Amino acid sequence: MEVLTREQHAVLSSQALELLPEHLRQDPAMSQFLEAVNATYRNYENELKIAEVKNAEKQAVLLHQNQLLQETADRFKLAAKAWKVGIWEWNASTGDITWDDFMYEICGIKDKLEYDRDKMNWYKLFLEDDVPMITKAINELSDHKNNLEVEFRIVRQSDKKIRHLQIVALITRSAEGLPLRMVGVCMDITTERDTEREHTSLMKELIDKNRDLESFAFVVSHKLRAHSAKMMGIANVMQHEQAEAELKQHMVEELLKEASFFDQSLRELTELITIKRNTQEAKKLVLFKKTVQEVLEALQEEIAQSGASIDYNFDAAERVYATESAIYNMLLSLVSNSLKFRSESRPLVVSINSFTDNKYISLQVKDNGMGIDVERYGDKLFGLYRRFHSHIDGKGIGLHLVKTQVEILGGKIAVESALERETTFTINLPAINK
Amino acid sequence: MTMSSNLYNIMLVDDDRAFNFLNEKIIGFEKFASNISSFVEASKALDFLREAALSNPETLPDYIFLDINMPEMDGWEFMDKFKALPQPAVDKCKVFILTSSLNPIDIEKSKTYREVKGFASKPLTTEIISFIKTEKGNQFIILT
Repeated sequence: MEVLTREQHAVLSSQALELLPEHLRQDPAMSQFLEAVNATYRNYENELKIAEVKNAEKQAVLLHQNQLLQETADRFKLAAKAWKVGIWEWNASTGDITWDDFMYEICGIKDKLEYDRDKMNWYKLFLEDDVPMITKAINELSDHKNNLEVEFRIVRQSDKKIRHLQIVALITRSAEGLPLRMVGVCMDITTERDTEREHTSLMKELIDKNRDLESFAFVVSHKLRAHSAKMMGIANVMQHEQAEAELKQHMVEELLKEASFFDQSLRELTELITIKRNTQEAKKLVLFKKTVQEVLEALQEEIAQSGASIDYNFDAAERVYATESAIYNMLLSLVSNSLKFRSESRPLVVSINSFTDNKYISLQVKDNGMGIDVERYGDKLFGLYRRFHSHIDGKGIGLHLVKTQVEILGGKIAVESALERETTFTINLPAINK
Repeated sequence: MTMSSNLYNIMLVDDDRAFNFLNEKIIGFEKFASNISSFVEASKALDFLREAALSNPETLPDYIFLDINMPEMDGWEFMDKFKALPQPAVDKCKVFILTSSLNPIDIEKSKTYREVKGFASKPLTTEIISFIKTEKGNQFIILT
């Protein structure tokens, strides 16, 4: 129904009044009727006015809500920008994928038009290893699951760097349960993952170090206990009523000997702890040739006694950036082990050489001695106070110290051996260009 | 040496000769043994036991005092091979771990061997010997 305005109504009613014959215009009954019509209209008009006010209120509410929505959207955009959240939408019927600007930024795509030309281009961003996992997550969606949460890696197009992305999405379904569209957010969580990985490896390192310390404490206490147990044993024999004077005298000598061994062990231990604590000695370019010559000079007597021939060649890698004392000690330990564990059945030949693959500088000491049962002893070879020969004296410190020093320099030590044939120790130290 | 009912055949296995010497003395003083055989190599001790079990079981030791930390063959490896010795050896020899270790892990590990009757901390003393002498039960003895 059309609604007349107040003015239109006034015009129409006065016109209608003029159309009436004079006597009727004067008739009180007609006047009353007109009055009634007018009254009805006024009522209607009032109602209309009230409705208008209400409408304005509604408008205001709507406007306010719109404003709030806008603010929320702005805030969301701001947050999205700050957190680098991309928003995407997938249309199930067309298969189209719509991205917002951040999505292109996250994926490092500069030419949007070119990229959008192929609908399947997004699939090519994934790191190949992650494709089965993504496919699986998407396939699971068809089973009435309405939210997708998946983490994967892509190759960012702008710099070809691997980035970790996380996607959270919701799927809208038709009344029949068929997927209509999926809307999701996408975040680059590479920094978080990197930090996490860093923390995990740091944690692992700390746990390893702690375990090493624990076992170090046990090994050391055992070593010290061996000394005190022997001194107690000697004292027990000495004070026994049945011990003759001669034995007692012998025991006094043994006690003194053991006390001095005890002292020596403590000194070695202090030295070991100092080395483990990472020496303050500055690193420098250490020349292998010079260090080897010093080592061979220090071992002059033993070399002469054993009749060993020792050759060295450092043409492939002449130097390494390290602490000089560490390199000296490694070479000294390994060469004296070669001398000590030589075979009785052939003249000893020791070859020392170096090589590099640019990542590592490797130092190798190879001999044709008794060999070590590497398979049997494994990592125990480098254990503190570990000895492997009953007939040959040793403290079980040398190889442990070599390994400790190699690790302090960020390197690794490996051993290969064939019993009664040869043994090769290879030390890989990080190649630092200085 | 003469055989007597309360004198035993004793075997000492320790790579440290000085400990073997001290233990021999204490065992001698305490009149615990009629015969002591000391070995610095666990593998040689096993050879001896194998040989004795096959040809001369009465020369098998009644007690074996075994060190754990030894080069080449350690105490645990000795035990693993001991278990597989001919029956007379396994039946007769009571093994006692005698070590300077105070590591609880070593005590627990020694309990896992049925043939190991006890765990004693070095040095071997008059007290340890008299305890073992009087101990008749099958309970695992810990003397640390």
